[in-house]
Amino acid sequence: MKIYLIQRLAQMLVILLGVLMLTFVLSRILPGSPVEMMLGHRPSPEQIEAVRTELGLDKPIAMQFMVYLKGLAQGDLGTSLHTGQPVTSDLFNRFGATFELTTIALLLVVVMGIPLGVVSAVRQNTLSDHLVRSGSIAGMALPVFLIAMLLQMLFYGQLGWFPLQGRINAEIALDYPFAQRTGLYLVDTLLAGQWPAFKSAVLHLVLPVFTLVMASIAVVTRITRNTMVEVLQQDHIRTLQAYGVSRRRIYYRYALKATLIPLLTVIGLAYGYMLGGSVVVEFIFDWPGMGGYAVGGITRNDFPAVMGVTLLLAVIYLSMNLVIDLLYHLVDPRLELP
Amino acid sequence: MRACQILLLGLILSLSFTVTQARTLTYAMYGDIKDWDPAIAFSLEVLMLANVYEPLLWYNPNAQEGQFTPALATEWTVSDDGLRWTFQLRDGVRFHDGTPFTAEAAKASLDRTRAMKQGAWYIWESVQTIEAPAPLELVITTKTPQPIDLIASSQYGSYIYSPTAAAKGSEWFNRGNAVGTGPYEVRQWSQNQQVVLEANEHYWRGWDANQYDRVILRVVTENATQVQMLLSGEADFISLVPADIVKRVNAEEGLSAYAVPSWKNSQFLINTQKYPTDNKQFRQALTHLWDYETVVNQVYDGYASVAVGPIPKTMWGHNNDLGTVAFDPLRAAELLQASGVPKSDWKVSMAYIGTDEAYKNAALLFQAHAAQIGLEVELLPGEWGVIWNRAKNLNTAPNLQSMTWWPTYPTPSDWLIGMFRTEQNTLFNLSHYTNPEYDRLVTKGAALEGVDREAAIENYKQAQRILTEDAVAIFYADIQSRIARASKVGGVTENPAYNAVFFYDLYEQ
Amino acid sequence: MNTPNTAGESRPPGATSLGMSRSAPVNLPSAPTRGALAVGFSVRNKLFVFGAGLFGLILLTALFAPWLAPYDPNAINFAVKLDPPSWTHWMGTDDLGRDILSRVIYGARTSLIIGFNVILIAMAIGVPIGLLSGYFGGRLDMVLMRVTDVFLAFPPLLLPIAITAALGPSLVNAMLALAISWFPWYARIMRGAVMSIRSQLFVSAARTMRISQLKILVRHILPNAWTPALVQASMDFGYTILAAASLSFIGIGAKPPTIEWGLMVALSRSKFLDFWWTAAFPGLAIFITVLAVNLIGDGLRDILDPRARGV
Repeated sequence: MKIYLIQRLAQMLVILLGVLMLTFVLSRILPGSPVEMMLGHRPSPEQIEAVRTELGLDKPIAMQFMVYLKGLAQGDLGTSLHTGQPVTSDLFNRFGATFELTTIALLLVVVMGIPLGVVSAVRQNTLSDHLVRSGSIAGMALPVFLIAMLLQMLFYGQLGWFPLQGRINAEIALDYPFAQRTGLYLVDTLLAGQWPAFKSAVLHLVLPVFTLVMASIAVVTRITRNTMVEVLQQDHIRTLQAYGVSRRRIYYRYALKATLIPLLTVIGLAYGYMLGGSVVVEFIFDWPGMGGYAVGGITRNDFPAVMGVTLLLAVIYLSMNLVIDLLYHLVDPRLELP
Repeated sequence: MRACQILLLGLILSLSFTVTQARTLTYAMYGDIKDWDPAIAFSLEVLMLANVYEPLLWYNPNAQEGQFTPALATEWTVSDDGLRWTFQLRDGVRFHDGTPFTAEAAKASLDRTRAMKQGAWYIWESVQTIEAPAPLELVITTKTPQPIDLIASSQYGSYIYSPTAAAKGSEWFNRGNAVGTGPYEVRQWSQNQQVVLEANEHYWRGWDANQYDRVILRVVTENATQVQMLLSGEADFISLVPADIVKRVNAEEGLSAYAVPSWKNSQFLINTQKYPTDNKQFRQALTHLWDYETVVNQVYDGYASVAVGPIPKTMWGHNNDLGTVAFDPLRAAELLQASGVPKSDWKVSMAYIGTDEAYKNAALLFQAHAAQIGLEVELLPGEWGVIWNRAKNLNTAPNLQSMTWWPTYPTPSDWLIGMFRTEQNTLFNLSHYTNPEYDRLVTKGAALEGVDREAAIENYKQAQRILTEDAVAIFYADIQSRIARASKVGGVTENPAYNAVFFYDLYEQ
Repeated sequence: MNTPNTAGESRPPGATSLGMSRSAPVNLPSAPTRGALAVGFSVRNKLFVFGAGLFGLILLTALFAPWLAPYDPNAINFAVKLDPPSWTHWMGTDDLGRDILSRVIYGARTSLIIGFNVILIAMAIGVPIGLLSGYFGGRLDMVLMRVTDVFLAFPPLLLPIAITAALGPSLVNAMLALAISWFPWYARIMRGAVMSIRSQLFVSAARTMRISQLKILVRHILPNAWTPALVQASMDFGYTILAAASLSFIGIGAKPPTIEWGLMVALSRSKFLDFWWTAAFPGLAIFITVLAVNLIGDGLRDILDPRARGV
C-alpha cells in the first residue's frame, strides 16, 4: 500500500507539473500582449522594454516558468484585472458558492442515478429498463444551457416557484444578516439561526442544482446499469442464485459491492462534469462562484482570473481522482499499477 | 418553571421585534461603481454620487423656480466683471463622519478635485483661486468670466466631501467608502453585486415617514434580467429599459414605464487613427451605411429621434443647419471605392455594450447592410469598463466604439470638448481625433461662454460642422430616457442635467 | 459541459481516473449480454436505424439549406419582429424579424461543419500519437501517455474554455480548442488497439520480412487498429456539437453573422421568458442532432466493435 501510494503521488506530481506547464504556455499566448494592455497610447520602445523587464518577459522562458512556479507556490495566481484583487483571494471568496452547488448536485446524482441504473439492470429489457435507457440517451443530448433555460421558463416564468438567479435575496440577507463562516450559505444561515435567510438560500439553490443533476444523471445511470448488467452475469452471482440467496440480497449486497469500483469511477467522472458544467450553470444563474468568475473573466479579458479558475479546478479534479484511486486500492488491494 | 416560560416568551417576542422592516427600495443599475473617489468618478457613479454627496447648487430644469436649487450654498452673487463668485454656505451641516461642513471643507474638496486633474476636474480649469474668508463664505475667482453657478451644479467633479475622508486618499475611497453630506450613507458594498445605501438620520432637510430608509443598488448587467426583476417585484426601479419593453411593462398591474426627454445622445465614434478608418472617405461611407430611420423607429421603438450632428437638439448651441445624414448604401459603396482602401481591407471592428439590446440590434442591422456592399463588420460586444479601456489604447481600440453621452453640466462644450478635443491621455476622445483648427474653435467657444454666448455659439456651430464633415462618428440618435418602476414608488422627477435618480425625493405611495 | 462523452460507458474507468491504464479494455463490454442478446440487439438496431434516418435528414437539410429555407436567414424585417410561430413563419421570428426556421436550417451547416472539423483535427493529432505509443512502447509510450494525462486532468469543457480565452474568442479557435482537449482519447484508444495487434502473427511476419517500421505501421497496423477510433469518433461527434454550442453560448465561440444554434439561444436569452420560440427551436435543433448522432454512435459500436459485439 505504501509503495503504491508513493508511486501514485509521484505520478500525480508529474501530471501536475504538466498541467502547470500547459497553463503557463496558455498564459503566454494572450491575444493582446500584457505589455500592450498595461501601456497606454503609443508607448515608446523604452517604455515597452521597461514593462517587459518588470514582468520578467525579457528572461529566458525556462526562467520565466520558474518564476511562475515560485509565485504559485506562494499562492500567487496574479491579480485580477477586473476586481483589482489577487486572484487567490477572489477564488477563496467564491469557492464556497461552487462547492455548495456542486456537492449537493453530486449527492443527488449519486442518490438518484445509481438506484435508477440498478433497477434498469435488474429488470433488463422490461419497460422500466427501456424508459431509463431512452431517458439517459435523451438526457445526454440536452445542452446544459437549454436545461437551465427550460427550468427557468417553467419554474420561474410560468409557476413562479423559484427565483430566476442569484444565491440569496438581497433584502432578506440584509434583514437577517449572517456571518460567512464556512462560505456555505445553507450552513452559515443555520448557524446564525436566520431561518428566512436559510429558506431564501434553499430556494435559490433548487434550479441550478437540478440543472446540474439533469445534466449528469444520464451518464451516471448509464454506466451503473451497464456495469451492473455485467456483474450479474458473473459466475459467483449465479452461484449465489443457485444457493437460493434472496434476489434483493444479491443485488444490493453482492452485486452492488462488485460494482463498487466502477461506481467510484462514475462518481469521480460525475464530479468532473459538475465542475465543468458549473461554469455554464453559474453563468446562467448568476451564481457567485468560480465558474461564473471564469466566464466573466473571459468576457472582460481578465486572463489571470480565467487561468486561476482553470488551474484550481484541475487541481481539485486531480486530487479527487487520486482519492478515488486510493479508494480502489482499499476496496481491492490486488489492483496494481501497470 | 413559570420563570422559564416567561423567559421563553420574552425571547420569542424579542426575536420577532428586533427585525423591524426597513422601507427598502431596490434599484437595478447596469454597472458597478468603478471609481469611488468623488474627485475622479466620471461615469455610472453619478447615481451614487448624487445621493451621497451634495454640490453647492443643483441645476433646476424648471425655469420658473429659478435656474438653481440651493444645496450646500444658500445664496450666491457674482461681481460685475464676472470674475468673483461669493457663496454663502449652509449652517449646521455635518458630513456623515461627523466632521462639520465649513467653507474650509468646501475649499479643500474643490482644491483637491482640481489638483488631482482626473475625471471632470477640467470644469474648474478657468478657476484662479478658491478662498474661505469666513467659516461660511466661499469665494471663487476665475481667470475669465465663467458660469460658475452652472459649473458648481455639475453632475461630476462638483461634490463636496469630508476633508477627514479625503486625507485617507483614493485607495480608501475605492474600498467602498463615501463620506458626503447627502441624504444617504453607504452602508455596504459587495463588488459587482450591490451597494447598500442607508438614510443619513442627520440629513439637514429632515425625513418624512414614507421616504425610503434603505436603497439597494443591485448590479444587474443584463437588460432582460432587470426587466424580470421588475416584473417579479425583486426590483422597484430599473435603469436599463429596452424600448420595446415599455408597452409590455405598462400592461402589467402595479408597474409603469414611460419616456422622458433627456440630453442624452448615442453615437458610434469612428477611430480616426486606426486603419482603415483613418481614411476620411472610408469614414464617410460608414455614416451612409447606417439606417437612421429604422434604428430610431424600430430599434428604439420611437423613443429617440434621428440626431443632427454631435449635440442634442434640445441643448443650446445645437447646429440644426447640418441636417441629417442619408442612409444610402450606394453612396457608401462609391465612397469606399473612392477611398483607395483595397477591397480586401474592407473590414472594421465595432465595440458596444453587449448587454444593451439597442446597441446590439443596431449593430446587427449595420453589419447586415455592410455585408451587402462587401464590408465586413466584426462585432465586439463587451462590458463598458472593458471596451472603454480597450478603446483608449490605439493598439486595442476598435474602428467603431459605442458612446452614449450626457453632459457634465448643461453646455454644448461638454460634447465638443469631452469627446472630440485632442487629449494627451485618452479618456473619452475615443475617435482619437486631433484637429488644431477644431481645438482652437471649441477652446475659444468655451472661453466666450461666460462673456458672449452668441459668439460662443458661433464657434461651436463651426466646430460641429467640422465634425460632421470629417465623419468622426455616426451621430444617430437623440434619445429619451426610459424609466420603468413599480407604481407604488412616488415622487419620481426627471432632471436631464443629472443621469441619476434622487432617492430622497421618492416615497412609497 | 454535461456530457463530455456521448456514451459514457465506453470510457474505460481507468482512463477517466487519469488514464492509469489499468487492465481495463479499450471499450468496456457493454450492452447486449448473452441472455438478452436477441431482444437487445433488435431494439438497438431500431434505434440505430432511427438515428441514422434522422441524421440523414439533418445532413440533407444542411446540404440543401438554400433551397429549403423559406427566407434569407439574415434578412432583417422589423415589421414582423418577435412574431410567434405562424403559417408564414413556422418557428416565429427573432427580435430583428429574422425567420427562425431559416436560421435553424442554416445552423445545421455550422454545427455539422464544427463536428467534422473538431473530430478530424482531434484524430489527426491523436491517432499518430496512439500509433507510435502503442507500437514502440517503452519510454516513448510512457512520455506520450503522460502528455495525454495532462490534457485529461482538466474537468470537461474547462480546457477548451481556457484555450479559447488564450487564443482569442472565435469559432475557428473554439474548434481548435475542442480538438486539442479531445485528442488524448484518440491517442489512448489507438494505442490500446495497436498494442493488441502488435503481437499478432501477421505483424511479426512483416517484421521478420524486414519491412520498414513506417510501412508496417501504415500498411498493416493502422488499417487493423482503425475501428475503435472510428466508433469513438461517431460517438464524440455529438459531444463536439454540444460543447461548441456551449462555447458559443457563453460568448467565446461563433459570432454573428455566423448562424449557429448555441449562439441563437444565447442571443435570445434576454427574451426567452416572454418569447419562448426564440430559444426553444434552436435548442431543439441541437437536441435532435446530438440525439441522432448518439444513436448512430451506439449502434455503430455494436456493429463495428468486435469486442463489444457478442460478449
